[in-house]
Amino acid sequence: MMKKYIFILAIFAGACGHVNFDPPKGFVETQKSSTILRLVAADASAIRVTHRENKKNGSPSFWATLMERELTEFKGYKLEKKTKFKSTGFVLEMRAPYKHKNFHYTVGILAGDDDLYIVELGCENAVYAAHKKSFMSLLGKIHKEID
Amino acid sequence: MRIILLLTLLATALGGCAKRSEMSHRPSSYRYRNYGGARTASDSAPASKSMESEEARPSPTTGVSERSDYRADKTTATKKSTPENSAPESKSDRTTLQQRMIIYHGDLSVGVFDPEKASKRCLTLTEKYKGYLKSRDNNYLVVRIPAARFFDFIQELEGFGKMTSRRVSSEDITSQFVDLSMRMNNLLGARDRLTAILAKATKVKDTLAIEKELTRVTGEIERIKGMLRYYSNLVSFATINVRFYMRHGTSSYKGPAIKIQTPIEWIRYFDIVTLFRN
Repeated sequence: MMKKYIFILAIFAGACGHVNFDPPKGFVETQKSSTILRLVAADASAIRVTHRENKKNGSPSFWATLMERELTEFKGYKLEKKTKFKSTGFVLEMRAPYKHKNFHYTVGILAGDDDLYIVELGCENAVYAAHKKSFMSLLGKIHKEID
Repeated sequence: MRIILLLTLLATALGGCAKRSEMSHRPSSYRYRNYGGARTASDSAPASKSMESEEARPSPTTGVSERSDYRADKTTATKKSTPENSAPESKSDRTTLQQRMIIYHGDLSVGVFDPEKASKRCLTLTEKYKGYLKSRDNNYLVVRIPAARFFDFIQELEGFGKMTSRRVSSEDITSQFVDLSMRMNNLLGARDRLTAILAKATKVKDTLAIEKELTRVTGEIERIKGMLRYYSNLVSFATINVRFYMRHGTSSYKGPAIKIQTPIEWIRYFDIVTLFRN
């Protein structure tokens, strides 16, 4: 009887997390907690989904500006493109130096009434186009969740 | 009585003429251009050029005029010994009589925010002024600059930072230079005469004695040549000692504007490094 309760509790706890998304094409899940989901591709590209509780008046624009400022002005990343993503978010496409190479670092910021999701993609130039599709499909799933 | 008086006047006049002609017999290497009054560095520098232009004057670039120059000098001197040429009132002589040979020296201390950078700039400036680096000890530099541009160089150096000490000195070596030139010419004449005597000598004893003297005279000529070359170099190039030191006080910060970091702490966590590390 006890075992049955533990099993149900475990399932409940798992479902309770905010990052229950299926990995997009080409990525496998390597780490998952209630707020962070980490996915990796065979070519070492990585996606990380972070959930935070949104604050009152925390619009997608507010969070996108805050993130852009942090990454470009303080960390020195070069913003290549900033696009609006549907009604809930923004996508920041950046170049970032990593291990003496220029990597693509793309950050999606999606904000609903109560939830805030930050989705990051880091990969090399050669595989960026392919992984961006997976990244955008994941953003689409999150958008459906919070919209 | 009148005849005696006339004779005395004539004798005096002749004596005066003789003195003038003696003066005009001085080798032209004694003549220096008179720039008169206050002298600037630009006047002194082209010492080398003006010297070259004069026929038999020892050249500062090549050092001392060679034998051919000396002979040319002799002919020129003879030519100029005619009364109309040798008159001290003559304009050309007045201009060539008193050119000064001046050695310039500068000692500067400049306070800068980045002494290393200032030293590099100073070297670039030295090249621009066609000078050269004599020595360097960290940010203490000794540079040689063409004397003509001595003050321009110092003025430009002032722009590097705050000049806290500036000492400029000059040394007039005209008399030494004239003295050496005169001795040089005398020795060249002596060498000529000794060579002529040597050609006529028949006894071994005499030959040996003349050769010994000839060796001594030649050695002395070489020594004076070296000294003239050394003086010419000192006159042509001013020596400047520059010390750059770290300047304290209000720094002129020229970097990007300082910004206040984001007030939401967890935003700082997002980074490509943390993305790949996890």
